[in-house]
Amino acid sequence: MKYLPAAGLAIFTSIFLAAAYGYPSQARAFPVAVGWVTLLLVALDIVSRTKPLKPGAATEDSRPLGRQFGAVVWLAAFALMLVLIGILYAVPLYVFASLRFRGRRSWLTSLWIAAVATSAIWLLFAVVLRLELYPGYFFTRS
Amino acid sequence: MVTAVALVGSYAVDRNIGNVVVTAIFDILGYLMIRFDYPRLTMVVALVLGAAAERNFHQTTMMSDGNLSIYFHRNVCLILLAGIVCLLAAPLFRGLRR
Repeated sequence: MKYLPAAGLAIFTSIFLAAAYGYPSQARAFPVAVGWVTLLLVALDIVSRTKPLKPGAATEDSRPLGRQFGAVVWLAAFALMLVLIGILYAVPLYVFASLRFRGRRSWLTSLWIAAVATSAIWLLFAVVLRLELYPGYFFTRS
Repeated sequence: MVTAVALVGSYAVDRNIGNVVVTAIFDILGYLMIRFDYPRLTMVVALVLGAAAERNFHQTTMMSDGNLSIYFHRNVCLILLAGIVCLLAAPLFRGLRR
């Protein structure tokens, strides 16, 4: 698992380098230099991660993988909601859902915190900064 | 709440919803970097200085008609290159010595 990012970056850089070699000679100079330096850094990273850990040193994150994956999915879902249904609907939905289902707060607490958070964002961005809040993809098409 | 303000704030910069998507992608990338113990600050520095570095690299390469040996002609270049090599090699040697 600890070599996964380095391996991923090595594959990505190899594809990047292959694409860069298709450019005209002057245009490819910088991408090729960056690509080879990145491959060197990936190699150094792999070497540095092969060292055995000292006793008492921090080991891999102990939180369950599913929980970490869940945090990423929540964030991605929130960003998608912002794009699709807009700020004024996505913010209360996200704050309420994350408090109720991830934080295990009561329905009432989740509701009033979501209302306060949405009001604060509306006051700050729409009233004070006079910004038109994004209405969402579904509501701008019609 | 912090996530909500961060994402709405990224939209507020230039009223572009694409910024929200970019922020979410970099949120996830930042989380993965913490998870796998990579420094975030160096990436921020690279994002800030990358464009200037590329522009100046092309400018220098055009001055020398594509000849990369221009980077080894002046003492200041050699000193900087030696510094980069030392900085890259230092953690490796420190690790091997332990």
